[in-house]
Amino acid sequence: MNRPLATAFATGLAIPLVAAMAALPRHGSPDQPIHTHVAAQYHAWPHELGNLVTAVLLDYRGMDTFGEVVVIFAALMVVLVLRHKEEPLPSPDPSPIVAFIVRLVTPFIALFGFHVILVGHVAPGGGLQGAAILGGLVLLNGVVFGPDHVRSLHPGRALPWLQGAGPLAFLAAGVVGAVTTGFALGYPTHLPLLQEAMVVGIELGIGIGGALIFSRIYLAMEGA
Amino acid sequence: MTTLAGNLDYVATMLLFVIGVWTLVSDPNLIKKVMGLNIMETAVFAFIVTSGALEPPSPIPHALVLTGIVVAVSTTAVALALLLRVHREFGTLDLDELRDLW
Repeated sequence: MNRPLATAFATGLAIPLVAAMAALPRHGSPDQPIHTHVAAQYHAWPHELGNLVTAVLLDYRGMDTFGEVVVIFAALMVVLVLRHKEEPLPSPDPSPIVAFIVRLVTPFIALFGFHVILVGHVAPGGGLQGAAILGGLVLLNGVVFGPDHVRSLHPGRALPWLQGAGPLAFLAAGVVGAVTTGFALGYPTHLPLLQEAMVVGIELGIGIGGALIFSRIYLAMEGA
Repeated sequence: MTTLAGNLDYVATMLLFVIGVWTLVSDPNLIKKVMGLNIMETAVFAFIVTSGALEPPSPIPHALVLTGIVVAVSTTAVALALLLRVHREFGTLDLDELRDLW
């Protein structure tokens, strides 16, 4: 629609929104609606997973994280369905400075990405953040050196299973949790080593699966 | 009813949301509309995260927006793949021209 109508619509939308913001409890007060319903329970329950954010993401809201991992997988499926055979783009000719810098920092970025995945259950990070770092690294090399350069990074025959590593890791953790405790995604507190292994296994599965999904979306979208 | 000056953070995120809505509806270019969608999603994430700024800061809103960020990235990926197909089939990304072509 044309500009004046859009501006009038946006202004008409802004007035009730800003008025609603004035009606909320003051910023920083504990009786905001987000803190009075479920968050108080999450603070009160003894979170055996050590970190409150990990406990919310993988224990209290574990099914939501499972659904989110399936959403990434479904996005990959849609992008692969929409693929279209086209003539390949001309291979890029990077300048020596760019090529040198990218080749220099790639191992450090990869190391940092794996570190973020593995430490994610006790520190800021996690499977998806590490997957974004590793996927971005593959994109960087693909944009600078050409997609044929990074296509050899993908494991050939095991690729479909590794791309589904996120949902599969969740399914495995659910089965293990159902066997040891009574619940589907329950973390056994009487076996702390197994509980740690489940959490790290889920993070690793999301990390590797997510990285492969992001890089595959890039390779599918540039026409091959 | 508290004043607007106390909730300035919320007002700022809502203004960002309205900027995103304006970007979505004002420009006929389809990529601009995807950008507007991303701005709206970022505004909602900022609103949820800044509401956790209590006296001991609460990390629970952070856990809530992590899932939201991933869903936003996935929908942007699907939208851009659809735009690629639209461009290859019709040769244009302008909504007014596409409406005439349809």
